[in-house]
Amino acid sequence: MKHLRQVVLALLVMATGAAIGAAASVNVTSTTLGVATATVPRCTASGLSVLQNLSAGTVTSVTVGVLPAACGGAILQVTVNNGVTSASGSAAVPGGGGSVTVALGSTPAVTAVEQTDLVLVGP
Amino acid sequence: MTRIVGAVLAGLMTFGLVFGLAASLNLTSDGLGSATTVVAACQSGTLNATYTSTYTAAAPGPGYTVGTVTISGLASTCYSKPYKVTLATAAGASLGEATGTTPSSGTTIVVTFAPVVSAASVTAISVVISG
Amino acid sequence: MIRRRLRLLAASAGFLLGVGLLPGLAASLSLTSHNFTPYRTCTITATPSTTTAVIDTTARQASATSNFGTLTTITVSSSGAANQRIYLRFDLTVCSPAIAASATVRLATLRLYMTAIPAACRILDLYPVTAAWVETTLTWNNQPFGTVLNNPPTASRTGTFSVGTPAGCQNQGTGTYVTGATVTADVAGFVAGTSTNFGWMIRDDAEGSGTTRTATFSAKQLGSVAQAPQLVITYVTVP
Repeated sequence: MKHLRQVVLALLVMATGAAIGAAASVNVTSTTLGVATATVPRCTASGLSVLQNLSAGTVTSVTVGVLPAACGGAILQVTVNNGVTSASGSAAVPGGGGSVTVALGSTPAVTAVEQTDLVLVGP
Repeated sequence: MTRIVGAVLAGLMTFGLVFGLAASLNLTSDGLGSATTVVAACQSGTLNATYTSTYTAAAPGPGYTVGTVTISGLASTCYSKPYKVTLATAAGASLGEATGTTPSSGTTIVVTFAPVVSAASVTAISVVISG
Repeated sequence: MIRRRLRLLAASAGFLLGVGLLPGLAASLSLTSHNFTPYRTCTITATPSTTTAVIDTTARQASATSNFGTLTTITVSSSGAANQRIYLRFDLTVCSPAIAASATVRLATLRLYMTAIPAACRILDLYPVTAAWVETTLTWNNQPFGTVLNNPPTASRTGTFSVGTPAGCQNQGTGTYVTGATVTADVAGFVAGTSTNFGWMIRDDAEGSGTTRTATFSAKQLGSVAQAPQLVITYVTVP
């Protein structure tokens, strides 16, 4: 038992010695370096209903529906572009999701085709 | 006790042997030094990114774009250090990079991207803080 | 004694392990991100009344050789010998910017403004048309799906919605757009290029009814933006 302990101790000392003896050691310090990558998550991947509300042939607001609860608390930004002009608005999504009607800052005319962009920021 | 002394001697011998082996070949060499140290991040607390989007009719629109990313949770140990933030696609392709120096107070870094980045394409974010 | 030995062994192992591991640790920050969810919608509206981006017409069994492409209404009817079917098509290439073939269609909804409603709850079926047709020449006799009633079979429909005044029917009133007419899978195929866009045919799920059941909708030719047929496509360019 005593032998074994002392053999181990010897090996340890030898290893240390070899390490020290093998290379000329240099003192080195380092500044910090931190890296991270994260996925940007979506609050939903399901279909959202997007309906334009009209008045006198112009789009006055947009109702976005079928918002899941995971999007609750997000800020919904909407822009309607009829190819000539665009109009935007934003509103908060209710805590439980559902639907949100976003009033536009101006009222673009309804045309044969319109692009409506929306983005949910958060939660 | 004898045995302990013997063990120490063995170590010293090993040390000498290692050195002695090189000398016996009569070999010269450039200097070689090596060392190892830990490279640490400047903080362990979590940073959180949020995005500011605006509608742009011009490229990369028409559509929503990201021009500003706000990173909160900055610790004082990361003050006044160079940073790089990259917005990327799911495949890891860079959509845009922004560099700067972290502030010397507060807990947020406001990162501005110029040119702005198409919001629809942003699926990943990377942050590097060094120094 | 054994314990002492084990302790010494463990200490040695720990020392060596520690020395080996320490230089290998990566410098990592902790980073999370808020949700950020972009969507895009292309809304195609049958306006003005002369647009060719949208075509709509009715095939009438009782007038089997006549075309009704210029009427201001389109009609679905189930009757003994006077059945009627709607044909309509929306040209997706008018969407600007164009919907990329790689886009993911999340939801596509067909919107029809109902002006007359049957007294019984009727199920209306949507079928993607499989051959080309012309708005000003289509008749009951030359329609792509032929003159056999209840064809194609119900099992091949890609969408359905119900109309009727009875309580519990999905769409119970006139003067509004119907709900429930989703055509997501069809539009996804058109966008991806895996199927050709010949539009849709709408028929009563049970043609040949002993009592005539009719649902009427505003057509492109009415020229009313507030009642025009509409196709709303919601999609993402990056999932």
